[in-house]
Amino acid sequence: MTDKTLRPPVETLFQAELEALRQHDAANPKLQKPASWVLSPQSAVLYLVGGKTQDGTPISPKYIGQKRLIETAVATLATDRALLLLGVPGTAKSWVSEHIAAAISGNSQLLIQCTSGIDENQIRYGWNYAMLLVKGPSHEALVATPLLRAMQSGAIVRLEELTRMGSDIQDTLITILSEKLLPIPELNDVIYAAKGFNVIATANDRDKGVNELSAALKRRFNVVVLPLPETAEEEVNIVVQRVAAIGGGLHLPEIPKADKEIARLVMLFRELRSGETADGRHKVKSPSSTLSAADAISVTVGAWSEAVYFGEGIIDADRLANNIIGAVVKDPVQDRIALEEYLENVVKQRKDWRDLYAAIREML
Amino acid sequence: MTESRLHIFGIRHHGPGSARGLVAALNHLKPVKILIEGPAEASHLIAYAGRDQMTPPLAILVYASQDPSHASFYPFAAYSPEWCAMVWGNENNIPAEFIDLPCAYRLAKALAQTSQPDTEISEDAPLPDKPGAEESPQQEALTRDPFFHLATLAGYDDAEAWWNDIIEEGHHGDSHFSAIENAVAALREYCKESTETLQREVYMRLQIHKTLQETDGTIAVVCGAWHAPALRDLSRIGADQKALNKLPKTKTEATWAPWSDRHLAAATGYGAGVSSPGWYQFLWRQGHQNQSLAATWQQRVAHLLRSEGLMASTAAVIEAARLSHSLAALRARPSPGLAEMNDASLSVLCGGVLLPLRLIHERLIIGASVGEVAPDVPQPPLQADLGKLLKKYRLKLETDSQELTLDLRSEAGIAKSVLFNRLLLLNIPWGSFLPSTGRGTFREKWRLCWDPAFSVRLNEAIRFGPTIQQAALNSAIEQVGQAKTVADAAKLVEQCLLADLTQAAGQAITRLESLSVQGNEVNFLIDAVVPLVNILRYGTARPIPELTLRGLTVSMMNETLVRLPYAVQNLDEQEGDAMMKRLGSFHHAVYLLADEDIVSRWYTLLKGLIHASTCNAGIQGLAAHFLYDNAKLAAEELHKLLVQVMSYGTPPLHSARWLEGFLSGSADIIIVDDALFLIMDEWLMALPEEDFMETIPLIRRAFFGFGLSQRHRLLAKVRAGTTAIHPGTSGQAIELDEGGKYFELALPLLATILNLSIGKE
Repeated sequence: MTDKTLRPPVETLFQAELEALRQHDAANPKLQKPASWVLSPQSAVLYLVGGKTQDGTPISPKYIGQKRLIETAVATLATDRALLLLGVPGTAKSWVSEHIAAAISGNSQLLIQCTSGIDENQIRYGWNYAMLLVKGPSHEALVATPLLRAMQSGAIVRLEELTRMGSDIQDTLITILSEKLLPIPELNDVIYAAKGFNVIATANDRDKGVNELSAALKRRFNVVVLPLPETAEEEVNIVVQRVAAIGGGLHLPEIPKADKEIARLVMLFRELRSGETADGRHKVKSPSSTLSAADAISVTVGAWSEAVYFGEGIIDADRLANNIIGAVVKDPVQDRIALEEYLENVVKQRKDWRDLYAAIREML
Repeated sequence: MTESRLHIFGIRHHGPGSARGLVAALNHLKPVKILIEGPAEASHLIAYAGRDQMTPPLAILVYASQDPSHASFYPFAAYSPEWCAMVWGNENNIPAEFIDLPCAYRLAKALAQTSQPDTEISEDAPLPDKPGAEESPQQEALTRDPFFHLATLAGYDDAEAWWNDIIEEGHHGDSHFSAIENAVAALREYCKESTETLQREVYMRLQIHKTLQETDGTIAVVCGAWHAPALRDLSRIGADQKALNKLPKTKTEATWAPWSDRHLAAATGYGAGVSSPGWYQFLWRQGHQNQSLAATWQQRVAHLLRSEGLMASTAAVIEAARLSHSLAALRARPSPGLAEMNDASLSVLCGGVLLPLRLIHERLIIGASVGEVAPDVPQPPLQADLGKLLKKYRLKLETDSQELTLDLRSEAGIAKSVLFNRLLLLNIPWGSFLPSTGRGTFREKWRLCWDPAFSVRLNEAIRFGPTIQQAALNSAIEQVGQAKTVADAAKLVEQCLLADLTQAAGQAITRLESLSVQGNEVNFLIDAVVPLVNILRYGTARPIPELTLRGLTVSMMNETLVRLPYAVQNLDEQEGDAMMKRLGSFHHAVYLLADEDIVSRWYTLLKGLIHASTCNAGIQGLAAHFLYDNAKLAAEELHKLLVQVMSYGTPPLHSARWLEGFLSGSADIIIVDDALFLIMDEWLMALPEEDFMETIPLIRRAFFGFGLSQRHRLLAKVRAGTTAIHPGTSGQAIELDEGGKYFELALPLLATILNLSIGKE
């Protein structure tokens, strides 16, 4: 890994914090680690929700929201049950799964992106055909998938968007999850999972055309539903923090803090999403777009980059407008109507939102 | 000055942990007398605690003798420390006594306030630890749940979990009692106490002082932890005594009354302040340190989910139990608490979906048990009478609403129905009558749902008589005297007959007669007469004074018929709708009563209506419908009427209303009656194109109220064509091929009129 890496894995990014937590564990004999775990469950939770270690090292919060959800997630993995993170797009499912894997196995890179094009070979194992021709079916000719490698090394494997993969392929996981073994009939062999092996899957419950999990598979998962942020403050907090982190990662030139603009943006997204204004007085048409915290983050980062390269170096209504329209209007007709109505009925009425009104109006 | 013989146990009301600690402490201490925080005038009731057939949750009910509507409840669950102290005392033959300020003082104050007009007194009794009104919100929060404050200090977000944890960990006799007492003493320095709390503490101190002087040996005092530090200081007894002498008092009675889990829950009335009675009950039964606590609880959750048709396998129960333990370990708790149980149930058994969790909360965490009072407990006469009746008819007081079907042909069935109706007359809606869907006369459906607050109303009703029958009779007679309208009086006639109160029914009928001769609005008359006809027709399962009632009904019907033509004029749309509904039930009543004279007068009246120009159009249509339906209007006449009403000269809205009234929201009349279908068909076919176009919106409007299946059947009927009905009709029998083609052309328009979406078939 070099400095040129666009996005280093989280265990590299937060190496210092993970190290501090390891020290924290070492200093507390009460905190016991399950086999092959890098951190104790308590420290893993601390890593996710943030706080301070015993020696005072600050741990930044990775997940802002209900602590009990993270506790359930970590406790689930400690009971060797697989974990399924559910939620609408942009509720930090992959983010949480990445960090949990890093905290528990010290490695978040054993990852399978499930798509409708995936087949069993990408879940279980494949063959190196050249080797297969030379040596016949043998361990040397076997190509291990991230799942197989996780089983062998006792680590956590992440399955992203589990429901996008075909149902028959999904069910391949059943034996692995319940018996913790993977038969290789070609070699008349079985691979047993090492202690510490587990699966974190994510799936979103909003998409159409997904493949529902079979009951047999579903009951092998403990399910944690990650909700949309409950309060506006919480959501603003998430956006501010993530924008700073992403911008830093992209080495975007520093600009004045845009917390006020972010608060306004989050309020706009929340109102459109929930279908009513924050004071509950007006009904608002909801567009088809998700408008989650993740969208607010990408809008702000987009505005930031626009501001530093093409603007005056500050995030203002003009910079946001274009990105907002891009995020809201996914359906060129319906969403546009929804946004226009919102603009005329809500944004226009707010005195301190005049600039935003003018900027979006101009772009529409 | 602290007496070494005095042991004060500051407990948390309804805390299973407290109760367990208290019982252990009592076993260890072996006091010679127990003093319990509870209304002093109810001390004689302690003896019943723990006897057979005394099943908590129960409440001590104290009420003012002169006006039983002023009452206070003191609820106890099986795991309430106070209850455990009473039971312990009874089992070990140690005398126990209540030492809290008698209710007599507070009730006297409430009585004084009611004598002033416009002061509403809720029957809601302030519970032992409720804060006074004059405290600031912060102090109030502190006073309401001081343990919450302590729990927050200890890093918990849940006082209950904190409490359980320290009880579990510190199970060393009574040592935690003194720790809590010290903590409370510190907290109390920051709180302002209400006058009432202070008065109560004064009284408790006096009782403790008295007992200390009268008894040698150790004395155990069981009181809310909040009071514990205040009760130690017995140095100012003289001043205390004086402070109380001035207070007014009233005479009170006390008894045991059944209580329920739901009412123990903080959310429902009386604010007893427990959020999870069902969970506490579970903890109390299973024991806090039981290793299989999580498995047993999750098994109960799974059982509940299964009974609601949700999937919950044994494997899932095992996993949920494991997750509860693993969560408890992660949160550094000695054993899984309710939060851990819920998180685990949510993740494993409910698949992350919150909805079933609500069910679990309702049924398991709050619970649905209702207490039972032994029959030998001296009770107020009505309560005792109800108890006897319940036993006789094998009924139970449940707070979960339940449906009961009664067969009125059986003696027990009719007796139960009579009981429910009598209680209704006493303003105790334990059972609510569900109108049956069928026309069966011997079946009744009731929904039963007991509210412990009904005990208060039961006591209130003592002024009407000592048994339920007498009280209901006198209450009914009083209501009859107050009835101002014929509808009220008629309703009472019905109620009295249903409650088998012949004497009151007789009076109600007399009252109704005298009211009906005074000028009355038709609306009231119709509302009054319809239930009467129902009684005459269907009430045969009970004895009724048929002749009197019939005479009265006929005279009221006649009165109605005289006034009706005036009442249907110049009504606006809303009034018209209401009147159409009334006429519908009146028409049915006329039919049921089957009095020839009235029937013929009714049809004459209807005939007059259809031509009266100022009559509401909807009602005219309805009248035409009634007449046609009973063959009093010939097909040709109806045809003429239709043409006339729908003709160009009539305002469109008028026509539409007429059609609506005529069809009365049901397509059946057209679908079933071929002759009528033909009339309508002829009328439509004869319309010139212009008129036809103008009529279409009206028809669409009239068809709007039809059900979907009715509209589909109507379309099918139209498709079949007039040929299917009447092969010989005048030429509308188009050949099938061509007719089919025309029909396809008309289909989109028909679909619009009928508001149906039709795919290509």
